[in-house]
Amino acid sequence: MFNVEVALLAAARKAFRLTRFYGDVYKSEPAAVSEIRHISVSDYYRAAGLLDCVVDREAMIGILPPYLRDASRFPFTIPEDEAELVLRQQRIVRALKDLGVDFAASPRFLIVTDERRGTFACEVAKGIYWEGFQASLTCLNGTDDDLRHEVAIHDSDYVVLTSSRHRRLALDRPKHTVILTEHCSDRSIDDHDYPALLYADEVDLIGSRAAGRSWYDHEGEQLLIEVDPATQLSHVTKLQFTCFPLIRYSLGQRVPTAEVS
Amino acid sequence: MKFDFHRHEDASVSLLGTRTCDVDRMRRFFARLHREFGHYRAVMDCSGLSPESSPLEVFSRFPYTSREDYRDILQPEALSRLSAGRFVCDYSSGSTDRCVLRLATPADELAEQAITERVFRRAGMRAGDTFVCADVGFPEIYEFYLRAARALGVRRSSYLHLNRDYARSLEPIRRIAPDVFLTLPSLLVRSWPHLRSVWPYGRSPIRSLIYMGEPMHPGFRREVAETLGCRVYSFYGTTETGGMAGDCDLGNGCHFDPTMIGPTIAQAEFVDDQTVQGDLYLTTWHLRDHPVVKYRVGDVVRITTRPCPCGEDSPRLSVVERTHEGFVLAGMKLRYQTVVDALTRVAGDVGLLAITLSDLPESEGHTLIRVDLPARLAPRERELMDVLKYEIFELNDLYQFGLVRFQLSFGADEALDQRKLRRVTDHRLYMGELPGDPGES
Repeated sequence: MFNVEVALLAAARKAFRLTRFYGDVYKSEPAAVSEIRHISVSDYYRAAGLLDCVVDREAMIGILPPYLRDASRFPFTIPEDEAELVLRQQRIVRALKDLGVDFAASPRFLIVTDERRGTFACEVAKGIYWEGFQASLTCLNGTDDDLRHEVAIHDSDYVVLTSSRHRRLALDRPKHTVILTEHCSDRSIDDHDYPALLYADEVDLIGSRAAGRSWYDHEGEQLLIEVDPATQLSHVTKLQFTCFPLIRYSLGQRVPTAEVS
Repeated sequence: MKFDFHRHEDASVSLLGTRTCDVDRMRRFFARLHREFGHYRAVMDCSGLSPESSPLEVFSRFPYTSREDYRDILQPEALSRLSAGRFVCDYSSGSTDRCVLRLATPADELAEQAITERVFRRAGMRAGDTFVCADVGFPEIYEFYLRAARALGVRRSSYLHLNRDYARSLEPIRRIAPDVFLTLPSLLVRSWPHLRSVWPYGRSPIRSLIYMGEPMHPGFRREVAETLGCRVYSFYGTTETGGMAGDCDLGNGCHFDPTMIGPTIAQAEFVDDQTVQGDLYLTTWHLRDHPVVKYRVGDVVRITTRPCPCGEDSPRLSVVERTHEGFVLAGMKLRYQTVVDALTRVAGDVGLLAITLSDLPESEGHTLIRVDLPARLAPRERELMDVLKYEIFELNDLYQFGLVRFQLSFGADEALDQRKLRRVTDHRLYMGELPGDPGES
């Protein structure tokens, strides 16, 4: 049976042993969950760069592009190795299923993006087509008419809106086929009539919220989401990290989950 | 644009800008290289090259950068230097035989974007256009191209993801009605049965079709141009240096700016007083954070400074042949030796093997790769098959997408006699040996 406290402590100890950053954060190897402090992005002043935060630079095969190409609260680029890519893909599959995507029907997706979210949208697309589905991209900076026109042209089964500037209400299609992107750095859209995917720059996909539900489902054996009693903000731990650990790292907002609303 | 061929002591020839500002730019390049790049500083110091000296002399005597240098020194050094900053990257092998993470800072991305914009403009892209790219994956590459296109005033831009069901995945293109279409020749060949009849003969909305990543068969190029009623343009570049050159309307070689990406031709042979042919090495004068000097890209090319009838005075490049044996699959270049090395890691010395590529019916995928091996390796068939499917990064991607299948064939050693063996045979429609394709990308 999965014991979250055991997993959290193991992750913190591993991060302490294997990364200079967490060596600085903890000073000594945590012996109990109570010794694992909640951290935020400001703690990364201790790191000279990503190499202070990774387990093995040779294993890096990619990065997590930020939501906004030219801006992120995180001070440097976030790397990924193959094992973490596989784990992230498992989260993507779980999320798509939670949103009701029928894997047997080979659905087609259209990812709608804009100038600033293009590289982020590419990552969304890749997660979809790794499951064998078509995921095309269109870049729109125009009007609701442009959005409707483009969606009609591609005639996809699902439309993923990566930006709140693309108005979901302009689309005349079933709400469950319009997937919203929520990001921890953005103001929440909070329209529970639409399905949504939740992201953070530091971890990419966190979880999903099916239409009509108020909380996010997430893969609990990969990501532990807790509330810091001091700030009442949600903190995430990557329990199975192999490249870039996050241990009780602040997401900057309160994320409603099944355990904590 | 003013440039000249410079002959070096080792008989190589470089094409360099000759204006005072070009020489100043080279001087600043070497000063920065010496100041900020540990490996290149060591190279310069060991070779007695001072950034204070004449940049033409420094460049003339500068040693070549090997792929081992790139893979084992420059890339790790780039990661260390850029650790505290922001960059984008891709993970591929390119010419380096082994996958490496290639980094690009915002400044270097913009330098590449500037070249890409020129290529697109030369290929007829203009404000108000609708631009579509199509590929089986790698959307981040095309998102970059969409950005370059939007800088030229393109109004609508999309990336169309193709999968095995080409008919279904291409279906929106009729409604999109692109003015400019960018894709890979092999994907165009596969999707051609569906694409060629979307519009009346000779009257598609496509004004310019740009191809990259692979050479295009001249016969197919003509057929595409006539059927779609468009011009076809080549876009040449390399994994390590980015996009470099593009065709004009006349298709007589890809124009490029040697003050941005500088060619050096080794084993140079002058075809005439303005044209040289040989093994291509590139210097990325335009890159600030991950430059290379005299890096061998694996192509034999012809470079001419002879004026082009199109009126543009920039030199032109044409690919003559690859310097190593290999094949291109969905835009990804794979070396014969990469396959040999991967199989050797599992089965010991595999000796010689032969690779044959064939088209598969659309219902079965995209390409069949048959590998002929000595009979003594037959007991290890399963392991060898797993290597092809899972251990070669680029092939694994295509296998996962359902775009390549593998077949192993075990035969007598005589069939793999080194004196007679053709290591790579390409039976794919329009993808076999090409008679003097004017440009490769």
